[in-house]
Amino acid sequence: MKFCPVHCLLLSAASAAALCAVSVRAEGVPAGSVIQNTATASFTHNGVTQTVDSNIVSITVNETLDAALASQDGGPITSSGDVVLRFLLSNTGNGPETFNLVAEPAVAGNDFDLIVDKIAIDTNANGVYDDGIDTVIPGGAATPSLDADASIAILVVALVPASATDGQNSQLQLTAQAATGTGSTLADFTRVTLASDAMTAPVAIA
Amino acid sequence: MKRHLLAAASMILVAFPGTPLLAQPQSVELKGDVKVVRVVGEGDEKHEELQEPTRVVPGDRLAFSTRYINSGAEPAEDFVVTNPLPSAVMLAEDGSFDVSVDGGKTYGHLASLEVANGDSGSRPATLADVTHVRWTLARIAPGAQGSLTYFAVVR
Repeated sequence: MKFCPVHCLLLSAASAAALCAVSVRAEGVPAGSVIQNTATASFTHNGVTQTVDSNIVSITVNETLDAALASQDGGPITSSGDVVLRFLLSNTGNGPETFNLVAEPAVAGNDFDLIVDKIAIDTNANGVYDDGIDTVIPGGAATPSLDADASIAILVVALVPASATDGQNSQLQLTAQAATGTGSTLADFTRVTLASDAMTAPVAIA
Repeated sequence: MKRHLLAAASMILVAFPGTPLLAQPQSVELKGDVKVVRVVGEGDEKHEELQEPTRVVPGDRLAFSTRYINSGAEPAEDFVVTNPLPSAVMLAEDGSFDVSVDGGKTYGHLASLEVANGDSGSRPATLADVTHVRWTLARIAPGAQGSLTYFAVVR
């Protein structure tokens, strides 16, 4: 097994497609929506038709938190150094929300682990990381607030370690988790911690 | 004085021509309520339970009920209860009621109704098309009461 230069980094398109089949589905009516129900009865009483209304019952829709991540790398990626993995983060909840992103390079089964350099928002949506243009999300910080159904392009910039060799495979897992209930208009909002929506980008050394 | 009273009575008749001189006391009362359906328990103990809707999110199943009571001394005939569905919910299941899929203009059993389907004519109506539910009871005897319920899912 020979040492592999970084320019032969390959992203397996077929595997990515299989792993990234995450459907994006809006989660329905917006948080804060008020559902009101009332019924009306008509009847005949001593030959006279009357109508009567019920009281109005009201309930308010609470916020539900959810996210979807989908790899945007539709084919093999080669790199001469850094590798940029592209994802689309979508707010599939029903209210505005921020998300914490974690790029985890240590995935079971990896032959080597990528070195995560940064996570950034692809501000100009060109699919590559542009230093000074794309917005880096500092470690521990959350994304800007995303409206329900809104999406942002995420870039994970990572390095291949010098110890990686030909034929080795690696995966990087990006996880998004709703950070807070910010934006909920509900006084009785209850924070919900979601199971992580994880997306794995398989990386193989050719 | 008598002339003045007659004049006043005439004014009432003109103002409310459809109102009988002796207004009938309203003898039927309706009381609406809503609960959220939760599945509780594990294994063989798992069952549905109606709970107070303290927290409701899209996908939750709601039970809208209307309780009626005839508190009068006379029967209420041709008793028809109409309930427009709130736009934020979708009928969850068919029931022993008629439905409308055209905003309350016409009613029938869901299986017999159709909705326009663009250029291709029409298609069978589905639960998602229902805009109103309606119950018809021939007679509510004095003192009789009951409850009418439909289930809906938060869109």
